[in-house]
Amino acid sequence: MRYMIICCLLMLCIVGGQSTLAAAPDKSLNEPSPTVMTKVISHVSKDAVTGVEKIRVVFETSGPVKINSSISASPSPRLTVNVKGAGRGSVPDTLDFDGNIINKVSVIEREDGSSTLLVDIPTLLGDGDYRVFTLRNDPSANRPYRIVIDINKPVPPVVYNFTPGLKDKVIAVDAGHGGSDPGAIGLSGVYEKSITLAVAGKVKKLLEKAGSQVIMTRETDCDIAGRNASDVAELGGRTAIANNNKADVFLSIHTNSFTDRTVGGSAVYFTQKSMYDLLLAQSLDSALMQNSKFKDRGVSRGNLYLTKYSLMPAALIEMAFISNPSEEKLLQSPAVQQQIAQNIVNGLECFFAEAAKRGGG
Amino acid sequence: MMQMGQRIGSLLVLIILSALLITACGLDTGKNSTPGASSKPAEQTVDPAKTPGSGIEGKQVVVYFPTRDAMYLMPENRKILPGQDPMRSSIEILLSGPENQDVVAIAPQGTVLRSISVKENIAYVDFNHAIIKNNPGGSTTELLLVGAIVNTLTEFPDISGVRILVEGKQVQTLTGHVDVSGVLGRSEEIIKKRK
Ligand SMILES: [Zn+2]
Repeated sequence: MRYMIICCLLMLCIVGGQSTLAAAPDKSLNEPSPTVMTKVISHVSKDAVTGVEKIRVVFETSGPVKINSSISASPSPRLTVNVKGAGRGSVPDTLDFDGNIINKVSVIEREDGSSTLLVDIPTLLGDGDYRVFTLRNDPSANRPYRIVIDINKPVPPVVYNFTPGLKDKVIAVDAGHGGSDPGAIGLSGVYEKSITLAVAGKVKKLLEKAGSQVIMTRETDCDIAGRNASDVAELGGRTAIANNNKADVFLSIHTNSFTDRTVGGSAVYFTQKSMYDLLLAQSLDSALMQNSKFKDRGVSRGNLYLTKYSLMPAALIEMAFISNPSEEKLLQSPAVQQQIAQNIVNGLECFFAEAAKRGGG
Repeated sequence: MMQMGQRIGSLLVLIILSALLITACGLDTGKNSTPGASSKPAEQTVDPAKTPGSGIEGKQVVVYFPTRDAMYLMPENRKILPGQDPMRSSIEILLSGPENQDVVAIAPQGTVLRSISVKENIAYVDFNHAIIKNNPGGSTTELLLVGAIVNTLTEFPDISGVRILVEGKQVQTLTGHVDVSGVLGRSEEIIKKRK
């Protein structure tokens, strides 16, 4: 409450010193009042880099508090936050959410002036999927003491009935960029779009030999949606080809680039639409490291259009850095391209073997 | 009439107050926090002295740049001159590059900040076409560039999200990898953790 008054006073100065102080209850100005929660605010945001959606719930308190938290699975998934040193104050005892990340938060006040926050969640959270912490007040920025709860959106529990093996699988293969878009350009002038097309063609041949049906987004040096199409149409055209053909898996093949030309290595990006996206990325990444000329930069969640808007498990492979002169040279070698293509196909085979074990059955 | 005026005045104060409280919640830096364990004590609180814009003299802004290995973003504290717009200045520093040798410049050559505005806690940051045309490409560069812009702007307490515009228009992507079409939120994961 005291904070509110200070805040009001500050506001009044800013607004221009109108004498409307009567709005603030002046009774508690000189009395020490117990610490309580004064406000609760929530905010959903999407991580710009990983694409992970998260909710932040902030409980403002009139003074500092101590907290601890724990996760329990039964009777239903719940995050419990014990708040030592603050009563419920003016915060409602039940806060309803849309069930996307949080179903409901109950605020229970204890007799000793402490509280417990019961956060009901749709599915159990892993350790890395949430954090609970406090923030100190900052009067100069008009910010009170706060309890912050961050929770990531859980991975949707989608189940595919994949069988092992590559035979009769529909694989959509996207050679990155093309036509009016050269992609990244190496120091000696090699275009990303040429390398990706060469490797995608080799992947196609190997997959067809293994009995897969391959859908290519492009087989020549062309734009997918026409020369003057928008960037939405160009990327949307690629995912539409995979989606319309009901591909089992979508792969987009690229070469990476960075200003520091010593940076190198291969990387696999995915968007976690289901648990299969991570599995696909991991399978490809470990296969890519077989007899590899490039170091492993690992798998990462990425806020990438192609992996996000494809309806099936998808991965974007950055084979190596075309900006790194020695990797640029290697990327042009047909033998290296063949090895990468073989590794990609092996990675897909590993993916279906593992997915068959996990999915459906 | 007098009473009415007072009531409107009080209402105005309340509206402004609640607006401020909402903005205050924005996205905190969470610099000192660590990923959760299944049972854990309270984590460290952020030092208010390090919150941007909190100093009266010698204003500081926090600008993010990629590490040399292109794996993470790291914050760099930079002083701005009195009277300079902190939000505009922070993006201009991002465009001109870092002072610290552990991080590198990420903005494509010739990128110019056309305008920056804030509406309902979302920063609309508009660049010229150089951010696409002179972009070297690659998922890594695009992710780090977008992350650096968003994390630099969400350092400001009243900014909860960012929209990137190019020549005044919304774009789907900068170089064909990252989806920049919506409101972009802060990324804690890409920030290099202090040892
Ligand atoms: Zn690319």
